[in-house]
Amino acid sequence: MKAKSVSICLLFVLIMGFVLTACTTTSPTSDEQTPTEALQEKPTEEMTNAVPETEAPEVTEAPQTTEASTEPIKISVTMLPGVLEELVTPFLDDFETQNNIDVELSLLPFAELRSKVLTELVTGSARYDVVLVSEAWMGEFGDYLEVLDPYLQNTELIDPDYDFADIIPGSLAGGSYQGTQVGIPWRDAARMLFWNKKMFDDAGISGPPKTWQEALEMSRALTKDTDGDGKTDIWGIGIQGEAGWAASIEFQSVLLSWGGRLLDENNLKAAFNSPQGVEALKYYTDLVRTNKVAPPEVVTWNWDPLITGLQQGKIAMSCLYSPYAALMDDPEKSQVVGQIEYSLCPEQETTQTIGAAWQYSIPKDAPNKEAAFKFIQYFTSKDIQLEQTKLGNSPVRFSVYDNEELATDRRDFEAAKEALNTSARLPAIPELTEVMDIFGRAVNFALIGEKTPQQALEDAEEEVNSLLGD
Amino acid sequence: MKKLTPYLLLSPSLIIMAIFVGYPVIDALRISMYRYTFGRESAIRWVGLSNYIKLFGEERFLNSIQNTLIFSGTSVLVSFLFGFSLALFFWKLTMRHENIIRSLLLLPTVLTPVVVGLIWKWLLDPMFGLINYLLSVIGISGPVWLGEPKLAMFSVIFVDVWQYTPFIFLVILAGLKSLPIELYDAAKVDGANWWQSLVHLTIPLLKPVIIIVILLRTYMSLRSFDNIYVLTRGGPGIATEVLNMYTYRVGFEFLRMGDAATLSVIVFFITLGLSFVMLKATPGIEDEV
Repeated sequence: MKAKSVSICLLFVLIMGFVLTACTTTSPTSDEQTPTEALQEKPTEEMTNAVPETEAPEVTEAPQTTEASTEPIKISVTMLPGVLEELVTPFLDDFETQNNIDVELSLLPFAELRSKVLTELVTGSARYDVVLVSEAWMGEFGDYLEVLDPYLQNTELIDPDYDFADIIPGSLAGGSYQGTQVGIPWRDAARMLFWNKKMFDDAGISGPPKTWQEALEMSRALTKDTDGDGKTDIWGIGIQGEAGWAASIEFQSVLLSWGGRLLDENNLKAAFNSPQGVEALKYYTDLVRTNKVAPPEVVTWNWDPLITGLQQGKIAMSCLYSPYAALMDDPEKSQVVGQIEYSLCPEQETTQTIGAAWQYSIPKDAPNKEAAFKFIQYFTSKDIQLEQTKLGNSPVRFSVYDNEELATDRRDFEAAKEALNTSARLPAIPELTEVMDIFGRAVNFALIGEKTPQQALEDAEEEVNSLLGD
Repeated sequence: MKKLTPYLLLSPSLIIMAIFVGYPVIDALRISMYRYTFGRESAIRWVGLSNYIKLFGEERFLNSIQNTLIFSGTSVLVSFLFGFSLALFFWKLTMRHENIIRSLLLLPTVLTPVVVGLIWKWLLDPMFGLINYLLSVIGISGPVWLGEPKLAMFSVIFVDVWQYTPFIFLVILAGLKSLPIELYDAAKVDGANWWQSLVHLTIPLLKPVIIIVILLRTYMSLRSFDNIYVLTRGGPGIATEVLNMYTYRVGFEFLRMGDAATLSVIVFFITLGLSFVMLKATPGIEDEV
């Protein structure tokens, strides 16, 4: 018994030792940085406008130019492994020899990209020169990212053929944070309607639907029990109703088309609990619950089963992100090769949908900002965007969408360009992930019948307002 | 000096424990006293216990506690009953290829929870899945297993039971094999039937093993995250969102580190309390294990 208490004491002393040292070194106290100081660090519109056009940004230029002839500059770029990585690697050699820059790709899977990069940014580790930022994180990352407007106006740095105006304004909007440009879009997606022309033809309907009402009527005609077992085999429309991001991002597009919006203009309050919001959610849930033109399992679906449903010819139409068009004509996975056509999503008030891009940004603490900008410039240039599009990228430039050589075999391009050009962007606020989660759950609650559309939106409004008002 | 020797010998592991277990636990306690959102370091402030008070008024938190209790309670109980019965069945059974059959039975436990989740997600899929296809062959229209709140909870518990029953089976079987045969022979001579020797011999003799296996299983199920995450992501709505998943969301998705630390501390105390109660409820266990 005595030995036991002695050992417990010993352990306690050890633990306390660690606590005390920990408290003295890393304790985050409120007086380390006052809110006003933090505010001053934020880039404001005035600050950017004050920078003269010709003035070069503050970069580590001097040592670079002296060494440039011999030693290449090393930059570190975060990248998603897989599809995105494969779009970059074929061009790295060309970029490196052209600019005497060594690129190190830091491959981070999607699940880690956000937390890893944010950790490096917050701790000021100067680990990366270029970071790949999903627009959804812009509100969290924004304060730590370099304002790029001075770089874009620096005539010594910018390539005369860069043609900034060729980048789709909708895509560029996703890279703006508090009125300044902190990201340059590289790969962009907007929601558009994927519809199976063969299934429409077989049902004797001429698609695509222009309004949501038309979409419902056509869905009714398309929903069929083909083998006569009393079970529906083909569904008119597919939606992604899984609680969280999936339902949130899709229904937000539907809400937009009804003339509603997620947050108010200043992003301070929820705005979705409006008459339009309730009406839109009622329409959306009725697709599953009363009209039964969408399969009941959509309440568990994100984009993956939806894509499979389209590929297997079980779903006749759905609004999806434009890059997924490439998956529809893949003969290994798809049974509907050549059957899917693309158009803008149905409208109620507008055809506006949500767009979301991968943006390239430079952290404020990046060691080689000028070289980093060169990297961004190269990979968002006209030529490289065109070449990458041939490899499957979803470009951000008008000139690529208008390219005649590509237009013939990209049936999705016309709709994709229009969808991107008119796209709305997610609010760049740090609480976005949680707001989207609350909103997506509300949609899911309505879909599974746990709450009425009205009740679901009311509850979510309260939650969002309390989060944003905190 | 002689008295100190055992502590000196223990100190390396104690120090490592203190660094990798003690420090994180204490630091979590500290962070739970702050309003702290990762990425907004300038807004950190000390809030005392108000994170805890706020949490207990939160519907989603209380829901996750309830889900955790339902999930863990049912899963542990059912998997224990199955595992124990299986072990009894295999105990005295001698047959050909016994080892192969036993290894096959162990397969679910050896699989990674994520893989198990993916397999079952596919099997349970109403449109492309095997289970509803088989049901439709015999004329039953299968439900949307993961799409209705109660069914979804049933499904995730079922998958958990499927995965961890073999674990219990293995541990109990090992315990059974180590029991002295003579006692059973003696009982037989005294005229005890199967049930009597089970209740008066097997269960009392196996008690330490049973308690350990239930404790381990309880910790495992309280920690459950991966297979639920893959199967339902806590949905539909928040019907299968257990405490651990909610903590993950608050910490790694919403980046509210103060609240996430608060939740971890609560999980920590629940686990601690449970083991305390279980060990206390069984007198003599300290000597036996």
